[in-house]
Amino acid sequence: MGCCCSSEDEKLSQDGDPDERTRLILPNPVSNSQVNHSDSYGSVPSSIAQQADEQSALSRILMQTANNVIDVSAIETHMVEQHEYIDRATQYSSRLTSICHSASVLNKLHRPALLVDVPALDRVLSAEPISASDLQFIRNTSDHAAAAMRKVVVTHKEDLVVNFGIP
Amino acid sequence: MTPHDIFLPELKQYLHRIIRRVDGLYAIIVSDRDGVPVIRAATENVPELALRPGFLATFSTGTDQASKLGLSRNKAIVSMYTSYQVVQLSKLPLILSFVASSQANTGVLLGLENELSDLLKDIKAAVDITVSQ
Repeated sequence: MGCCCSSEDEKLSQDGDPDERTRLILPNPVSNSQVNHSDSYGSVPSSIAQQADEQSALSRILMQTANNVIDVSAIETHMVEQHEYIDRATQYSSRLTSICHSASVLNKLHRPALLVDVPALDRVLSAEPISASDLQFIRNTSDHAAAAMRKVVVTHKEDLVVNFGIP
Repeated sequence: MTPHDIFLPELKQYLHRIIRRVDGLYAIIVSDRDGVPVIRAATENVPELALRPGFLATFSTGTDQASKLGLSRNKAIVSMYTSYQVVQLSKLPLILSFVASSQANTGVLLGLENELSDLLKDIKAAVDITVSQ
């Protein structure tokens, strides 16, 4: 007969597998060190630091929860006062006036048209046309592309309508 | 005459062109989160109450709360009334609001977001600088 506190139990726990003697809550090394050095002078700042850490963690959790809670009645409505409204509106319009004159904004305001004004029309019309070889190359390439598009075929592999679990 | 009427003719003309193009659209307002208008264009059919900062700012509250419903960030809220509809889009720090007739095509109003997105980027830059000052 063996005793309850045989060495075999210690061997099992040393393997790392949890057993009935495994602690559920791991001992806090910081608090243990505090217990050991409770009489020493250096433990006071560490306990204050730990309390501050806990406090900040708790307040962070509280803030996250408050942000996630939906409470329409508790919402503070910030009514804009008349003078603040006028000040802000004036500020916005003065800033917008400056950006309004930039070319990029003006380009976005004017819708792009299909017909675009060409400034030097006679120069464009009197320029040399493209070479015959270029024209032939363009024609050949477009013919090849059109032939390839015609060869695209849809292959029917599965049924379009599938029945789901009908007994 | 408000400051908007004096200083921004080209922007307002652009917005008015959009208003004329979309059947039933009465007003386009770009505002900040508190409802202070940055630029707005409105016809005479728009109810004046819908242009007030207090009304437009309710969207800020609504979109914040709607984002907590577990459906990710809220992008737009459509409010349908008997005679009108208000479509508001979140373009933080801006709010893009459309006030239209209840018979107007809501999908077209929502589609205007893409058309105005480039312009909103420039307006956003102006508002950001103003806020940071």
